[in-house]
Amino acid sequence: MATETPQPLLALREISKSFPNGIHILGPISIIVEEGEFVVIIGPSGAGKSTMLRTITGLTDLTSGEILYKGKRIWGVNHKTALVFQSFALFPWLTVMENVALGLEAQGIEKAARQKRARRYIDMVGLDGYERAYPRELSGGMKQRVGLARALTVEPELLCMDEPFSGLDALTASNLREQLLDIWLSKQIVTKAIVLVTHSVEEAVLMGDRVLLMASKPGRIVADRPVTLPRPRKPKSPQFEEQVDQLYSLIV
Amino acid sequence: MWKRQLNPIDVGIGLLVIGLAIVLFRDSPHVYSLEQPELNLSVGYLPFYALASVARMIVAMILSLIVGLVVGYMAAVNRRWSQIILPAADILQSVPVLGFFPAAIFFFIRIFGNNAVGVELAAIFLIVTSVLWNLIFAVYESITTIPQDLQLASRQFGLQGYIQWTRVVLPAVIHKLAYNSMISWANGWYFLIACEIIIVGPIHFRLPGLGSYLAQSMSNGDYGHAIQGILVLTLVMVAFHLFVWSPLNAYASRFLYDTAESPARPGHGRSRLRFYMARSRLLHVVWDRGIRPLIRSMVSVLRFILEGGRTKRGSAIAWAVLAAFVLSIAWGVSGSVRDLSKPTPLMQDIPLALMLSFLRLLAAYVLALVWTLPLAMWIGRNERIARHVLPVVEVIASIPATAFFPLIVLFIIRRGGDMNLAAIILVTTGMQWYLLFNLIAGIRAIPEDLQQISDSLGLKGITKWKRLILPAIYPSLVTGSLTAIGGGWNAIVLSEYVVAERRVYSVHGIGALLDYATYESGNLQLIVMSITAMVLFILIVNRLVWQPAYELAQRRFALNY
Repeated sequence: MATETPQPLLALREISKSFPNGIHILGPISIIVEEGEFVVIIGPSGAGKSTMLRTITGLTDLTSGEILYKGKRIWGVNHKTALVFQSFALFPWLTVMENVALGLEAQGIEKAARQKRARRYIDMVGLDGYERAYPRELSGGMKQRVGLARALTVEPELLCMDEPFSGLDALTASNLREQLLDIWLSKQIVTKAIVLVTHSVEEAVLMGDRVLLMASKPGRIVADRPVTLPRPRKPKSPQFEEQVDQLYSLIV
Repeated sequence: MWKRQLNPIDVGIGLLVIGLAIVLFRDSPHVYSLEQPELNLSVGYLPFYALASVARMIVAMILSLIVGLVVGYMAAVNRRWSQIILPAADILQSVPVLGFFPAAIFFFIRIFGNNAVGVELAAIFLIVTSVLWNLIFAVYESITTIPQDLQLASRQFGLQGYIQWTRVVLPAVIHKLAYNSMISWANGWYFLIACEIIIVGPIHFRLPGLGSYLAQSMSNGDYGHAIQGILVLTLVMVAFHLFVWSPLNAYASRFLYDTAESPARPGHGRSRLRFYMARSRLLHVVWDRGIRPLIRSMVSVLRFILEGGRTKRGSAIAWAVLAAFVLSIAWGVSGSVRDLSKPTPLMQDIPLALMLSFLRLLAAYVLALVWTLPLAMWIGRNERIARHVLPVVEVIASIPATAFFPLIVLFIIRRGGDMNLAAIILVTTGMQWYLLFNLIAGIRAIPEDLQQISDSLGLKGITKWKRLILPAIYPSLVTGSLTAIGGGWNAIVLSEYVVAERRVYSVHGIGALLDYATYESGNLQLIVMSITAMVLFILIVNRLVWQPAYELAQRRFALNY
């Protein structure tokens, strides 16, 4: 056996966050995300799920604790991660292509190369033909596909998703979930782990390898359960319902 | 039908018509030959002058608010009225205050004679012309942007008249109206000096007030008194900012629509203000006896205008008012028919003067942008700095720079600069604040999620400016530039022609030409021609440059999708 244990992809150590006025909103939280994992964070509104995701990506400062990425402490924004927003956060004045290629533009990659790579992910999420459209010309589902493609284009090792399906209608959401799972499970992308925030228990059981349950005031993790169902999962099967019920019982 | 009691609106309009008729047929060509004596500059009189100016400003403000609400509402709910009101307001707001001098003299002083009442009304009218237009647009924009769902709900509940005004219209407009009132107030003070000394050729009127006090002491080179006047002016502006505008705006922000992106944040001023308001008997009395009846009568005036036009009596009155209005203007102009028939000297100077002024304006615009953009970035990007610095900047902005014009001119010229440079700097003072405040608002409005995704994607430096900041602030940059240029055109009249130490400092330009025509020659034809040329030029530039820019802002750079 090797003497060195491999470092986990992401480790949060006793992270916590307070507002300047002293109100304690998050933590202390300690979790580990391994390579190959699809982790779902679930909890009620105001539990600090989104705040936690933003600390993972480095968009928000911590009050105490530390974040280790592959064993190294992270200061500031972690560019090995990418974030998908509930609100899509598309730039209304940029085309689909320009939105998707924006991360590469920031890295100084020249136009032809970044368009080539962006096109690959635009195709992957099924938006080919819409490269020159503006966000306001797209439906909600298509906007979120742009958000997803934009995140994937920077080829993040850790993909963070903040309620990516909450702003969509049920049918579109279900479609997009299937597509994301398909992209992830078929290993079309270099991404090594996904952390997804949701408030839907069904979504958590459908997508996650592991579910973290959060409670509020202050935001903290109260349960950490693996989802043992084999994939592909069938949302109407008795086993699926059983897992959903178990999670619900933890929440109530 | 005639047996029904006459309603007060009918009486008011009737009196107006009779009054106009009397004026029209009264032959009194020599009423305005009075040369008022100079003001007494002693410090003891200063509080009185300050009070007189404040009273004038308040009356003008209240009148403008009422007219702004009525006219803005009419434009917002009736398409036919909007086609008249909006272009008219657009044209009138680009007419510099001097352009209204002949109107003020011909109209008010002829009606009321050259006594205190006539001259005061003329001055108030002049202040209204630099205050009103901005308020009409505020009301119009706020009413037309009431969310569709709210409009539907209020229609479904059948809200009408007074209830509709207090429950829907006023709450919808109060935020923008309070903010624009603050801007109008500052703008009114900016032009107060011009409004308190009404001169058309040989006709001189000097009203006792802070503006005329400052003008006279500066023109005499009496800097001791000038500085005292400036101190009192600053005091008045700071006091109004602290005790009127800042609490009013805090209160008005309660009426913002809550959106997911910007949840309403609790503020301090609000609760304190509510506490005082709730305890004030005076305010209750003012509301019950003053504001409530005022709103009711505004509503009935509006109902009369919007619906009365369809009845016989209504349209007869409307035609009579219109006819009287046209006749009075015709009569005002007829006084100079003899002048109109012969060519005016200096007429051929107008095109060159216009171009020179335009170039000065562009230079001033660039100058304003160069210092406001970095400051706006600094203030807008940091919420904590904004909280502390913004109120201070607002107070500074409300102090009318026109009070310092003679000092600035003398300073620049004694340092070896010329009047051209001085004029550019003076025009900048009439533009800079519009740019600054619009840019700050634009930078603060950049959505948090776009900021975050930009950080997450690693946008920095030029890429960040190109992809995030400039596009995001583009709409506010356009709005700010549009208002700044408009303000600049108004300010150019005060900037190209400055009286200091009993000497006129001027440069060739349309502003100076208009000043010369008004103040020195009193040649109505030259006044009318230079104003017409100026307004036409402004409108053409608006259509060719700002309209397309504004439409692009709406289409491509609006922060929603």
